[in-house]
Amino acid sequence: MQNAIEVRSLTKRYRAFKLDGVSFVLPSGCIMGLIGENGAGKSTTIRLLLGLARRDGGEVSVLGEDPEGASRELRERVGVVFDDCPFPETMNLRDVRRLLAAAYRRFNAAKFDSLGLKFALPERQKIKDYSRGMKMKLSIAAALSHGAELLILDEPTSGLDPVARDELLDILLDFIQDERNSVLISSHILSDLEKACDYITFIHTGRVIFSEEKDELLEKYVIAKGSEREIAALDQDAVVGVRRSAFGCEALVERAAGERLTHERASIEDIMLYYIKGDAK
Amino acid sequence: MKALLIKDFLNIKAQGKAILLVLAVWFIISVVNGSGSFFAALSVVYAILLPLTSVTADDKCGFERYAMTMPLSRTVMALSQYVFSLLCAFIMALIGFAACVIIDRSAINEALATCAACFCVAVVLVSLLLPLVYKYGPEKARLVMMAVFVIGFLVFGFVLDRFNLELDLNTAFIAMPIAALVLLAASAAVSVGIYKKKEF
Repeated sequence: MQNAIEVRSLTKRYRAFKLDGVSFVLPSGCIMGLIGENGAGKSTTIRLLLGLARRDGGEVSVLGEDPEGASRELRERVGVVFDDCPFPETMNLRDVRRLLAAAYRRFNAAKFDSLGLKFALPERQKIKDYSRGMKMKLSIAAALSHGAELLILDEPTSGLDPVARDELLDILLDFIQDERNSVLISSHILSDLEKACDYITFIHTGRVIFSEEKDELLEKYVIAKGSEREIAALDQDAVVGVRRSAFGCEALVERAAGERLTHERASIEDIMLYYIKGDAK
Repeated sequence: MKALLIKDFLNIKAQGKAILLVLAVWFIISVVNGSGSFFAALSVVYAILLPLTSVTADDKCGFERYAMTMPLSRTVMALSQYVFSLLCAFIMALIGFAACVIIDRSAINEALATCAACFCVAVVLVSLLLPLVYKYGPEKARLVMMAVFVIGFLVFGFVLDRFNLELDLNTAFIAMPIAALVLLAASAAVSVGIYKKKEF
């Protein structure tokens, strides 16, 4: 099946920032987590995927189409969730339903209503009186109710409590059950992504550091612990970064090289931190 | 387009009660003073007030960015506020027409002329306002419009005074709608252009 998203050498220049040759592929039927520091380029990448901004270079294909000048049909097939609820705050659930019904050809009112029920969203309450969790759930309900095959979520979990985040992940995993559906989610809550994602793409200062299958990534690295000497003795090509503390050294290192020392599993968060903050080897 | 209009009317729904109250008060004043044509003038005010309210509400929640991911073309997005403002102005002008006929007991012709003139002024103001809103946002546009109002009045009054011009009403009644339409078309073209280049 065709890939949900294909990005090749994507470039975008702003005054103080440059997205520089970003490339990755999201195969159909998968969830990809987009990770990186604030300002790394995740939101810029997402904006370019949605055709909200014009790229300066590279190629992008979303569900087989270039998002710049995208057809109406493409936008019917992509569901979007931003970090804030985009509906005017004087609207209520009923108003949002009317708006979506008029905007989307394939809007499924029954699906929207059942999600509203599942999320316990009140029919007549104004959005300005919604809690943060409710606002996110409304955004998700909207994104899931118009027959979308690709969901793109930009930091949907910021400010959500752990229960709400868990519910969101369940919804995404449920969405993926249909093999034609795919998800791209950017988030700072890496433990969530580790639970749910098939692929992880790490963007740092406008460049892709890696874009790999999550399971392979977790298999690939360990955190080796030892003295300064023991760590220095490791194959330096296999070491990503080292952190020194009063108690000794820890290094993120490829499994084969690091296994002979005391080691533990590396989480996605560990991997990201070592890449960014690991001292010079 | 329909979706955006629904959203616009819902945005002003909150103001709806205030608007009705104001209309009721002015209605009473008009009856007492015998001046129904005031209502027609309100069409001008509401033609710019209501779209500004709607755009401000959109701005607050980031609706525009979301709307650009919906199956709506940028052209439709740009034109929706024109349709909305002109609808509002038209509804007010109709109310004004009814008020002129009922309160003032004006002749149909006179009432029609007054309301048509007010509607034309509304068209001109909307044409000036919307490109500013799209380019600079509702707050800055509001300020610029106020400045335009004040300066426009002063210049207009000055020109009339100084050059002892007398408006030939017949010419004005033909020239004005045409000028308004041309301005509207130009404004819409500019707005569509702005929208097509806009990045979110």
